[in-house]
Amino acid sequence: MEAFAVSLGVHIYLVKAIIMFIIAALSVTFMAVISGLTTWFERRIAGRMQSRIGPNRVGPQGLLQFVADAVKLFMKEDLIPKGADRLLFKMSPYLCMIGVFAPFVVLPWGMGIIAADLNVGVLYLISITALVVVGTLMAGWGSNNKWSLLGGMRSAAQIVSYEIPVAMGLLPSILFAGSLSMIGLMNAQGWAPWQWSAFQNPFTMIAFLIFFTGSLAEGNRVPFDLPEAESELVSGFNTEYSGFRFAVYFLAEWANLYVIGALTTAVFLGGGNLPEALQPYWYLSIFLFLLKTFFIMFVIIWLRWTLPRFRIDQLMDLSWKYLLPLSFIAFFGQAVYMLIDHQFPVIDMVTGPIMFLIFLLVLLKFFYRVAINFREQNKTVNTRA
Amino acid sequence: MTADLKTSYMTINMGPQHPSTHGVIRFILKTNGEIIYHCEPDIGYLHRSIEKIAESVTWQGFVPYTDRVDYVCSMNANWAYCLAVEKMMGIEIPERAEYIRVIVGELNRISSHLIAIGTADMDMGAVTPFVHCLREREYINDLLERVCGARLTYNYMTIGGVANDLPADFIQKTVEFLNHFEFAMEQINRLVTYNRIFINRFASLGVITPEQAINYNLVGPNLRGSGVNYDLRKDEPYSIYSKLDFDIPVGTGSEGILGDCYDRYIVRAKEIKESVKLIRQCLNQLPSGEIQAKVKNVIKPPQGHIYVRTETPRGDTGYFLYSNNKTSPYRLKIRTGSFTAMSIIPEISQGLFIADLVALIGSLDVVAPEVDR
Amino acid sequence: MGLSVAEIFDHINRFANQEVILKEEGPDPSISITAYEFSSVMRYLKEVREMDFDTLMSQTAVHIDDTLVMYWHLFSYSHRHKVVIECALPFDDLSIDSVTTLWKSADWLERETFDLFGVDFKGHPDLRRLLLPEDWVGYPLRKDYQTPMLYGGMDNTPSEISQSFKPPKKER
Repeated sequence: MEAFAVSLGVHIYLVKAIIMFIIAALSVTFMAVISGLTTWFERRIAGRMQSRIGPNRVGPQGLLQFVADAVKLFMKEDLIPKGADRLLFKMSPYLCMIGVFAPFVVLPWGMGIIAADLNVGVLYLISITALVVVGTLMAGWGSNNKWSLLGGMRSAAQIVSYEIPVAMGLLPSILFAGSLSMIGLMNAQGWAPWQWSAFQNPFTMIAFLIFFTGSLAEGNRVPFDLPEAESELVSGFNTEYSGFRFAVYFLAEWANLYVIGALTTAVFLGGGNLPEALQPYWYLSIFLFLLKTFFIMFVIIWLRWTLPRFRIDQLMDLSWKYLLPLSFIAFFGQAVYMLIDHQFPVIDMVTGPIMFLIFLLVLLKFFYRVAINFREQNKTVNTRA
Repeated sequence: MTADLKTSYMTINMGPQHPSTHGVIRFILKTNGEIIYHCEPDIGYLHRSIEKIAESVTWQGFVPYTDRVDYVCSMNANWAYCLAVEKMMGIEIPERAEYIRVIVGELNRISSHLIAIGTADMDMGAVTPFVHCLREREYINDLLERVCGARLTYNYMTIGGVANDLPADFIQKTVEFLNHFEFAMEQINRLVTYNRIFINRFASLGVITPEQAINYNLVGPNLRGSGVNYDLRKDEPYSIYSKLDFDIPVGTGSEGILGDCYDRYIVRAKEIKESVKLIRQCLNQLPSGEIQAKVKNVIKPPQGHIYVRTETPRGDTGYFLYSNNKTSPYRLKIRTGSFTAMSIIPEISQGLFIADLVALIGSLDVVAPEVDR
Repeated sequence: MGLSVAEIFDHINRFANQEVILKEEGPDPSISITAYEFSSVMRYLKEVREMDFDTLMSQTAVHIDDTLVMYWHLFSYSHRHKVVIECALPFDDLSIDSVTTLWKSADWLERETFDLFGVDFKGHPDLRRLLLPEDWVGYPLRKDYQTPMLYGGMDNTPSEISQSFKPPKKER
């Protein structure tokens, strides 16, 4: 395509710019739709969990609810509180958005389908998401509202502390794959669960759990949603925002959910790896990747609507006293494991299936409990006249 | 650069419109970062001068106003007032009416405690248990609606009995509900009450010693959470409570220190089970007969004053009545549980986080209309 | 079980120098003491072991003719007995000792009584209005209270419609 355009006499840089623009536009559009759909997804799940229906009026099954919400938010007046730092106040939503959208450059969509396969992909992702902290801090400071300020401060403290366990949690996988690029990380795993990075050995399992917990905190999700704790800080750092700026925060929040899901899938859960026989059907890998991502998102939403919230000191305790030492152990353990594995490659064949088996047993126990609950709950009651 | 830096406490205005102050209550917080240095409750936003209104309405005419004193458990508020007037006039009410009062009162106690537990959960960030609590409460609202036609402000009890008899299938529906509810409550408990995060938030927090509780005149579950075994239903039995078999849950400091937020919370959760037990007994023993004692249309209680306490979900509600043998009260004072619970907050909240203050308010189960009246 | 009101009356009567009256008529018997000795009697009730009134349940007042009769409802958790202390104050000297040092619950109860009746509690640490706004004029629960027709710029005069309704009958 480039060659064709150049042959027409268009400058090469212009062509590159146009192509980049098209890819970027596609990404952002996809992003907006995904985060919109996620709001619907979350509200429906929450409704189901809370014995109610959730949005079901706009479009089939309420699927277009997010469009209606967005239109409503665009119509709202854009308020800037008196005494606010106008520059910070206006800039903060964009920083949050950049912090959440920039990772899409390195997020894969399936096997080998990626906007840019940077050879420092994971590093780039970890560092660029830190922009969100700056955004929330700016919003908290710039709003001229003490509740916002508290929210912003909590957010800064929280995200900065959890960056470390999250990054450390990624290291065992990186050791295992020997690569920092997303495609490299995915290629190192196989299609079967026991070939996934999460079930490789006990250390990667620990790392997976640490990473998952940490990213919940980084994404401001319950049980770590302190920056916007509704019952404590009214709405946290975005209390004073309205209209489009508020919509941007929401977009960023749910896009962030997708980022967490996609990153977990790519690094720990085998990405879009397909079995040998299905390799020619590349589009299946996109489907598989999205399926896994949405499953992780479902788990996060599920946790949000189940658990109470931590207190700030407990949150810090968890990060610095438990997650961080554990992640060091995982990192060190993985290194030792790889040394042993180098001597006796057969160990690799054993640990994976065993870990997966343990996981299956836990799952079985869980379903057993759910079945009991379900049977007991089927006693219906009608007290209406 | 020598900046003129100085440190001062940050004054934060929490309320009157704050999601977790349970109504319109305002707290003026002086904080050091997030740690509270001083907390001053500012009440009165919901003051409706009910005590002044009482002086211009008839004795019976005041019953609907008692609904508004505490609309979360208005059945019990009705009861407290009616009992006070009955004691003053020496009215004996029929046995069936007593049983019906206990049934609807305890149903209302369950629904009130469900709100208390649910809002405490929601203040901790767990929204789903709150909705589950409201779902169960909805069944109780349905049941009480069948009894008296209202879902929130019942105006059901009258001086001398109750307004109307139970509907035909009420007993069967209530038993059906209780069978369902016992399991549902267990589910809610599993979801939050025994949740580690929740326990960690509540345990050893906002400790009120028994001496403090008595000195501040905390009542009801807040008092029993501090380990003082005192329940008017057992210790000064009114109505038919002396005939019924039930236990009084008392805080034990099972997860932390005696008298912490978790103790107050768990006392409420356990009281719900006792109420279920009470309702079952009453439904089994429900006698037939009159539901209303013979009371004149215009009543004039004898000259004098009386102070009657009744165990409502938020502790004993005391009605002070002063009669000068006229058709309306000469003076009426309502001493409520939330009022004293509110007054202890400044002392207990020192040194807590803002998030803990929310937990403390939630565990004390403060209801704004009851504080302000 | 604890002491009866008559026994408590005996105790107080032996302790007090001034006149103590046991009012037994009416549903709740009460013990009337003088404002002069009020503070010492309350301390006696709290601290003597046979009585040990460890909690103040309620504190209120009633405006009767030209006096304000104050009521304190005391209860003892250790002995499970209770008593009503009564004290009449003349309107030209509405002041009495505060009992906040004995019972913490008195703090807000006294503030409420101050707010609604205008009683000056001597020794109260923070005697301000509790329920009403700080700038409210008058004490609403007094019988001679007139509802202000203007508050904070808001007109409070009854409208024509409300005038057309029948006013409630005062005395029958």
